[in-house]
Amino acid sequence: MASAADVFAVSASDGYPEEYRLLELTPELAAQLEAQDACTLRVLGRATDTATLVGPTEATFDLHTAHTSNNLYLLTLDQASGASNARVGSLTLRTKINQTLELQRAHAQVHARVREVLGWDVRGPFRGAEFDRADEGGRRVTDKELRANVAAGPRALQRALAEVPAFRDSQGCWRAMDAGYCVELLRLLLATQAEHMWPAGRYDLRQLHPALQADLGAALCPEALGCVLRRFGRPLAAADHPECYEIDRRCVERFLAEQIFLAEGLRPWMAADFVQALAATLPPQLAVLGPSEPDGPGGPDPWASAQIPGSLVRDLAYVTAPMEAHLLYTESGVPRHRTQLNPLFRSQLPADPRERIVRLFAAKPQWSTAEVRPFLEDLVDVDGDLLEQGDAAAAAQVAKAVDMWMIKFGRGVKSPSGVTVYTSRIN
Amino acid sequence: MSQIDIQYRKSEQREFCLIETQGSLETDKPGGLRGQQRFAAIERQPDGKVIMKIGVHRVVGSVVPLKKPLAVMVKEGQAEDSSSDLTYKIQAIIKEKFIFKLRPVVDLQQEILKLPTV
Repeated sequence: MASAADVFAVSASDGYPEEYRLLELTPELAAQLEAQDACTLRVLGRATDTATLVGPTEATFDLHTAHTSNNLYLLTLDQASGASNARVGSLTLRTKINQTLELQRAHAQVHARVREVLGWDVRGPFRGAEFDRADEGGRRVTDKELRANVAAGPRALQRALAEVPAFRDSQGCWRAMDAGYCVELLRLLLATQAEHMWPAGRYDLRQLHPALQADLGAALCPEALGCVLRRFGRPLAAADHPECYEIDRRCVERFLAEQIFLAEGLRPWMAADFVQALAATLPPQLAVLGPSEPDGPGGPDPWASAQIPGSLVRDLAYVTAPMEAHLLYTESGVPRHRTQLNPLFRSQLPADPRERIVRLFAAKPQWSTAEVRPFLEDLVDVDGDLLEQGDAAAAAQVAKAVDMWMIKFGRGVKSPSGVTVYTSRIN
Repeated sequence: MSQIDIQYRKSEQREFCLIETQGSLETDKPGGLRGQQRFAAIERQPDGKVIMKIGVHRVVGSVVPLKKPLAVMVKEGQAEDSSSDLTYKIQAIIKEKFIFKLRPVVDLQQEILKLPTV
């Protein structure tokens, strides 16, 4: 016996047309909402910005209005009776709609925006308590102001603040730290640790603070000390206290690399010279932790052109070989003393894939997939922490997205060594 | 920076139906459709077809799943204890719609039955 149909009588409400808006959700966002009893999405925006929606997992979306030529009628089911396959009831017509709000995944440049907002503090970046005047007035950046002006979820905001680096001062206001002071404080911290012969892999704020206080007195800002440890360290997993850290040498090297490029006006460097400059800047206590290069002649040169996309400057500089460009895409590449590093910070590139690729091809006319991947991977919708940990699924997802963009915006040609090299197809 | 909160409460969800038409529903009654009672009937059949009858007109459509679900939002104004400028509430998440692409037909049989015999 065939199932019967559901039959509904349709009436219009007394308030027709009522005020409703339709918001298009991604299937993932809809599932996240329905999985919870209560949830709030936040839409943030300035008059000059596209509105940004921050979802429950801190994914951000740009909001756009889409008009439909068809008419959409919204009705509510007010009463229904009968079996689930043969209901009888009434529908009430509520409104007619010709536009919906669409979501487009956005990659909010939280870091840049946080820096911009922290720049509103009239005192400028923190360079030491001795440079701050106690009676200095003027604008400060409070927690509320930061959250109101940065369109990002709490976790993304916290990560960006740690990376700037920034700390909350004794008055509860956020302050960016001067890069030079940050390194100076790190050196002091490392020297103090070595002087007291504390274990090199464990930096305990409870020990360091009084030791440094004895040396620096009132000039020491305890919040700044914690900020430096959070910037360059990771909480020690096996510690009995949350204020114990291990210093991440690669994190320090990346910070110093960025400062070297900036200090020299973003000029190109021969890789060999850059390595020397980096080694000279690295605090000696970190240099003794282990060699940054493989022992012996057997391993690949980590600063040869073919290795740069996997190195610590992978998203800070791209590679050229002024005298041996034809060797760039061979298996061994160009050795470090003939490889040129050209500063290009991923954090300063556009957030739109097409615009970013235009910018990349403007810097260099040819890119291999391996070279371009570090400059595009932050645009892919994967967990950055997983990617950093080397998760295979995340890496595969990034590779697929990057390949798709390069096929779409570039023309690929296979080099004699089998490496596909892309030129731009965007006019 | 302006801030709008969109709140979802599972306990406050209602059942909505979304109909998409190429034409529009009109009436020549003063006041338009507002307050009109039982002016149409919608029949949803087990095979995915939907039939809407308005008077002697009948239009056939189909049930189509939405590739991207739609949240139905209604404006709530500003809550007293909220930092947002405005609050919307999600009353439903719609995952399918009734779409009518064909022209309506006149149900002739019914029309004929109403004519006086000659």
